[in-house]
Amino acid sequence: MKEATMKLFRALIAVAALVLVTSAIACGSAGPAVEIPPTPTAEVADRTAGVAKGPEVTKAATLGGALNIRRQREMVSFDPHYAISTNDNQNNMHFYSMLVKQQDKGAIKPDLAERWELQNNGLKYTFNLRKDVKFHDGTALTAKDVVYSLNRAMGRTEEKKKSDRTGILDSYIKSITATNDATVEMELVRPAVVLLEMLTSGFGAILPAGTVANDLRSAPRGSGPWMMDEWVKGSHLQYKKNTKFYLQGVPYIDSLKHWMINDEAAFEAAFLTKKVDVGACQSLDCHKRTDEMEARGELLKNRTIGYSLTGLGINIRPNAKGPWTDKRVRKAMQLVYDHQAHIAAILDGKGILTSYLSSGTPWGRPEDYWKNKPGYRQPKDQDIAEAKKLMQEAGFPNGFEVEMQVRNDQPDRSKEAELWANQLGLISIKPKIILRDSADIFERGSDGRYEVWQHAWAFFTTDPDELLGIHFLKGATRNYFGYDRADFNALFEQMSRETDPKKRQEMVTKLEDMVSEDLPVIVEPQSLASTMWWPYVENWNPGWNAYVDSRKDEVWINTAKKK
Amino acid sequence: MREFLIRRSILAIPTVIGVTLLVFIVMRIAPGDVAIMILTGGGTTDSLDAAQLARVRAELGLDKPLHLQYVEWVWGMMRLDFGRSLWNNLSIWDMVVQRAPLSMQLSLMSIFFAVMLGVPVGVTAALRQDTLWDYVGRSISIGALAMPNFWLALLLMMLLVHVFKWSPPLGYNPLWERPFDNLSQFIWPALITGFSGSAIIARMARSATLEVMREDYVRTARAKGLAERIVVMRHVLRNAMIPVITIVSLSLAGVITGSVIMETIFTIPGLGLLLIDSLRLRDFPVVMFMVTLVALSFIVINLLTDVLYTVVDPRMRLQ
Repeated sequence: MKEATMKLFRALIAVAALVLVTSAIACGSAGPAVEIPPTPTAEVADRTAGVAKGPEVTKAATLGGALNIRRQREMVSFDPHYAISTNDNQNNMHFYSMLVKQQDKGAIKPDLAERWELQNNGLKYTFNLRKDVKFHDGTALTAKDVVYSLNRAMGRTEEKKKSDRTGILDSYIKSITATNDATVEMELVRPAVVLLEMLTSGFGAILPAGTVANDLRSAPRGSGPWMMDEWVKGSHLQYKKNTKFYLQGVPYIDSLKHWMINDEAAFEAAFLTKKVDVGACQSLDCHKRTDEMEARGELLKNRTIGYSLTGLGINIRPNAKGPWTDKRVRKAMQLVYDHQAHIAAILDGKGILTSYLSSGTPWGRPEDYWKNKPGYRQPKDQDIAEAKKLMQEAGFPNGFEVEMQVRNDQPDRSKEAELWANQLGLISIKPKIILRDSADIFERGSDGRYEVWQHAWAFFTTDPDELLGIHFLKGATRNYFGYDRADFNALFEQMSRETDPKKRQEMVTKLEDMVSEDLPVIVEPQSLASTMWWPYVENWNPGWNAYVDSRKDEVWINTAKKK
Repeated sequence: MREFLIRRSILAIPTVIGVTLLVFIVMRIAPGDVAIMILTGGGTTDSLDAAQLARVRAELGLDKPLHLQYVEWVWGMMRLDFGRSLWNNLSIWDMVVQRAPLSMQLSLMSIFFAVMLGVPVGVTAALRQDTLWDYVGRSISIGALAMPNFWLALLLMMLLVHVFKWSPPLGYNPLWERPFDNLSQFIWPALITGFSGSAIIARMARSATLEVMREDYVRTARAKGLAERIVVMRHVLRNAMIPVITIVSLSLAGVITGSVIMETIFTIPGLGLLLIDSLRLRDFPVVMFMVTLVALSFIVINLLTDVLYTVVDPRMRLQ
C-alpha cells in the first residue's frame, strides 16, 4: 500500500513537472514562431548557366513588422522601362520581377527564370521560367510577357521608345522568342558577358504583354513581392505584401513604407527616434555622430565607394573648337586639379582617389596605385609647374576663357564647378559657370553644344561594357564628348566578348589607360557613401548598386531587439 | 458698400487676366522642356528621337499654338476644370484639395500664435513706454525678427531629439483623421512661424498704439473722465489695430502657399512642397494653377481687408 502510494505520488510529480515544463515553454515564446520558407539563393559564379539550387539559409523568425525607409524624391513613374530616376527604379523593383536578380557583387540569382543555359558559342540564351508566377491582378506570367517586356525596353514594340537604361540591350540582342509558355530563347548579336547583369536591373522588369505607358501612370502592374497599398504624394508610399508571391513566406515583413523626407535635419531626427529604420547621412555632423554610435555598437553602417563617372567632360568632337581640343591643354587641366582639396572641400573628407574605373567596381585599381601619379600626387607644386609648361607649349601661356555647363538642380555639381574654377585659375584658365536645367543640359550634351561640362554620369552595372563603352566607344549612346580612338574601339570589342576574367581585366586596364592618355573627361575622386540601420533590422543587405538590388523582400524586423 | 464691392471686383478682372498671362508666358519661356524631362527623366537624351518628342508633346497638348494653349487653359479654369499633372495624370484639383488643409492649418495656427503673442506684447510695450515691460517686449520682437525661421526650427528639432528623445510624426496627418499626430506635428512649426510673425505685429502694434495715444480724441476721452481701461479698449486699441489688420490679412494670403521651409523641415506634405516639386519637374499646369490661386487669394484678401477697415474705422465707410 505504501509502495502503491509512493508510485502514485511519483506519477503525480511527473505529470506536474510535465505540465510545468510545457507551460514554461508556452510562456517563453513571445509570439508565433514560424519557420520561414527559404528563397532560392543559388549563387552562380559561372554566368553561362544557372539554376536554383535550393535552400542555403533556413531561419526561424517571428513574421511581421514594418520597415520604414527614407526617400528624398517623389515617385514619378511606375513604368519600370521608362523610369527616369534611380529613385523610381528602386521603388519599382518592389513591384516587379526580373528574369534574374543580383544581391551581391557578381552573384546572379534566379528570379523568374528557374534556370538558364548559354549555347551556340555564347550566341544563344535559353531561359526556363517558373510556372507558378502570377501578376498582382491574378493573371499568369508566361514567356509571352517576358518577350513583350524586353522588346518594349529595347524600343521594339508599338510604342517604339527605348528604355533610357536598358535600351542598350538592343545592341546585344538580335531576337527574343517564346518557344512555349515557360521557355524564352534569346539570340545574341555577339557573345556578351554583361548581358545577365543588365537583365538584373530593375529597368529589365517584366510587365503583362500589351502594357503601355498610359497603363502605368498611376499604379504598377507587376508580379513582384510588394503591391501598392497607399500613396500619399509628398508624404509616403506604403507597400503591402503580395500574399501570392511565388516564393512562399516572402517578403518576411508585412509592410514597407517609404517616407518622403527631403530635409537632412528632419531625417536625422526621424532616424534617431527610430521613426525611420534605415537611411544615409549627408551632413558631416550626422556622419560624426552616427560614427560614434556605430563605435558603441548602437547602429550598423556599411560603406561603399561610388562608381559614377564624375568629372569635367570636354567636348572634343571633330567640329569642336577651342584650346581644350588640344590634348596638352587637357593634360594641364588634369595636372592642376587638386584631388585632395576635392576630398576635403566637397566630400567632407570621405573620398577615394580613382580614375575612370572606380575601385568601387571589381575592375578599378586601388587608391594606392593612383596617389603618386601625376595629377594625384601631393604637394601640387610639381604638377602645377608642369601644367604651366604644357599651357605654354600649347600656345596658351595666358590661359583662356571657357564655358562650363553645370546642372542647376544638383548642389554638389555647383560646388565642384567652383572648385574647378578655382583650380583652373592657377593656369589662368577662366571658366564661366553656366547653370542649366537638366533637360537643356543633356540636349546640349547630345548635340555637342557645350565647351566643358562638370557632371556625374551614373552607371547601372559595374561591367566594363557599360563603364567604358557607354561613354567612350565610338557612337555610344552617352559619348557626349565625341571620343573616337580606333585602337580603343577595336580592343573594346575584343574585351566585351572575352569570358576569361583575367584576360578581360588586362584588356580593361589597357582601355582605361588609353582614355587616361586622351582625357575626354578629367575625373574627380569618388565619394565614400555610407548607409546606416538599426540592429533590429535583420538581414539588411546594404546593397552595392541601387539599380539591381532594392527589393527588401528578405529583411525582417527583430521585434525583441527593437524593444 | 455694394457699389464698393462691385467696383473692386470689376477692377480685379484685369489683374487676374494679367496674372494668368504672366504665369503662362513665364512658364513657357523658362528653360527646360517637360516633354524631354518626361522622356529622359532629367537623365540623358540618348534614347530620344524627334518622333517620340513630337508624340509626347502632342499628348500633353504642347504642340498647339501658344495662344490656343492659353485660351484652353483659361477656359478650363473658368469651367472649374483645372487640368491634370503632366507627370502622373493626377487631377490638379485633387492634389490641391488633399494638401490644402495642411497648409491652411499651419498658416492659421501660425497667425493665431503671432497675433496672440504680438498684439499683447506690442500694446503693453506702448502703454508702459520706457519701462521694463517695454524693453522686454522690444527685445523679444527684435530677437524674433533677427532669428530666421529655419534656424529656430533646426534648434527646436535638435532639442526635441537629443533631450527628449522624441521627434514629431512624419508625413500626412489630417486633423480629423489623426488629431493627436496632427497637433504633435503642427504645433512646433506653427509656434516658430508664429513667433517670427509676432515680431512685426508687436512692433506695428506698439508704434500704432503710441501714435493713437497722442491723438486729440484720446485726450478728450480722458478729459471727460473715462476710465483708462475704457479709453484704451474703446478708443486706442480699435484705432491702433488698423495697420495690424493689414499685416495679418496679408499673412492670410500666404495661407495658400503655406510655408515651404517649415513644411520641409517638419515633413508636412502641404501646398508649398507641391509648388516646389512641380516647379522642379516643369509641371506647368500645377504651377500655373497654384500661382493663379495665390494671386486670386491676394486679390480676395485685399478686398476683405478693405471691408474690414470700414468695420474698425467707420470714417472709411464714408470715404
